[in-house]
Amino acid sequence: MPLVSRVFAGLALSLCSVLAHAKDEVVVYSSRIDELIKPVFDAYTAHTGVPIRFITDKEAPLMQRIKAEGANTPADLLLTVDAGNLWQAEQMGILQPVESPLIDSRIPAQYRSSTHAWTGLSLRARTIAYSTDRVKPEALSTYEALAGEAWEGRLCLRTAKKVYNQSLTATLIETHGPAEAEKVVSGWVNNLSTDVFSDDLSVLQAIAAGQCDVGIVNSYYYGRLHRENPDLPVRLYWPNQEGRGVHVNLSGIGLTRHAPHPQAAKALMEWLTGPDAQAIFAEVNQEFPANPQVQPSAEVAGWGTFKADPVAVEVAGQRQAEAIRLMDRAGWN
Amino acid sequence: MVTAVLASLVLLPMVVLVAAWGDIQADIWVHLWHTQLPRVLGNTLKLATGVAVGVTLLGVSLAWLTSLCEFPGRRWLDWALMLPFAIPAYVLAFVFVGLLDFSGPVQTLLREWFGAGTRLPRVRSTGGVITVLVLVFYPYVYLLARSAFLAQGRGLSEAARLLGCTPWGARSAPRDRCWCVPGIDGNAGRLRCCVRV
Repeated sequence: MPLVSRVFAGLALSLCSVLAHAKDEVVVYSSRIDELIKPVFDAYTAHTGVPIRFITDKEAPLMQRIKAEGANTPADLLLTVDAGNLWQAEQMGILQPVESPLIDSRIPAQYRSSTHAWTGLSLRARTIAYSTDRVKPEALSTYEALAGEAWEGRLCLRTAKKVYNQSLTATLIETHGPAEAEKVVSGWVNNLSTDVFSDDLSVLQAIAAGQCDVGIVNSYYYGRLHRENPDLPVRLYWPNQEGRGVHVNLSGIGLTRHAPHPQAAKALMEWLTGPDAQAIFAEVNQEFPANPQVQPSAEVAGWGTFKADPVAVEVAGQRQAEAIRLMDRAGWN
Repeated sequence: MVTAVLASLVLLPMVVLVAAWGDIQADIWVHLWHTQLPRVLGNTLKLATGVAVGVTLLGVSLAWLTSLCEFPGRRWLDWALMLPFAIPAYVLAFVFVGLLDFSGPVQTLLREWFGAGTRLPRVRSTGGVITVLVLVFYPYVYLLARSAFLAQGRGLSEAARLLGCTPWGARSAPRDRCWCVPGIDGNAGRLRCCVRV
């Protein structure tokens, strides 16, 4: 072969091998929407050059899809919200444990799976929102107190079908036992001013409009509404500060059992628990970083500090079925 | 052969769904029967009845007006009344709730003008859902009833009126009953009519 052709062949082969290596990508199945996770993934690709492909869908279809795909799944990571969902994914057998001392050192144990199947990335508080026009903060104390007579016809809640409420009820059962928890939930249902809403934003808007005086919402929905309308006559209250603390849940990520790129995926998981990614989560999503060394954004810090319920969040998954049945019996739709 | 293959592809998801019934968790069904199912089934019954009555009343009366009466704007209404065909039910539902809910712009404005106690009927209720579904589905009944009334011929109605029948007289009702039914019952109704005619 003439020298020029040999040189060309050699260049072509090495280019191919470089390209093949650059095909080290990570595929993520995410139930978090595009706007919330793209900034983080773009930052990772800019930092390391590894491309991330992801699809978004509701968590239940995603988990079933990974299960159905089995050993042929293209998914390396499952990114979803609520510890209940992550626990479910682990029970379904679609996740594999990741031993990473780095992740263990960055994320507190209560925000990780006890079997290393998943780790939390960002936290959200499901807390009380109240109308500044009609409620004095001194009148509020605990989640359980909202079941009392003083709040009859003044409470707005989201539907029991949403996993956030199922997890809230699950930790209620864990703390008080099923009988007492059912009394509290029945009290809440009795105090509803109107039918349950399908989302937290509607609950906040109902409080602002005067349809009810208090509600239980996730902190970042309040943040979102407050960003749009700084004059919103609604504020967050951190209940149970004398007792167990505020109910906290998380968004988290786990490595799938048959991930095609486990090393690259593990590297992404570790980066996501690091200060750069945690700061983006805090800024873009108005959540609390799961890594306690990273401060929340100034806006979120402005809502005040609070004591969080120290119970391990995976309890929300362990008691999810029990919680759903309890909510059905109590009439929480 | 090709049809069979295509048909089986289309049927596959439904087969999977039906096959899922082979694995029933009895305790969940017992729990649901004691908690959610009665209320949910009751809602379905209320909706089905309410919407059926609503579309009949609305569809038939509108068809009668536009096909057997003459008034200014009738020709425009003739086709305009079919426009809801283009609106999916969930879109109208979102618009309804977005506009007329407690926190929506209409009620907020009313509360500003007439005081904080002003209330409209609740949109997020069985009545609200029935209203939305009637407004979306009445064109089906309207279309069929209108063809029926037109096919019957205005000449006959006018002749009957000259001879002393009221506008609601015996001439109109029996044959139209044949044609109204397909709008709600579907094929079974149509079969009954063919035999009679």
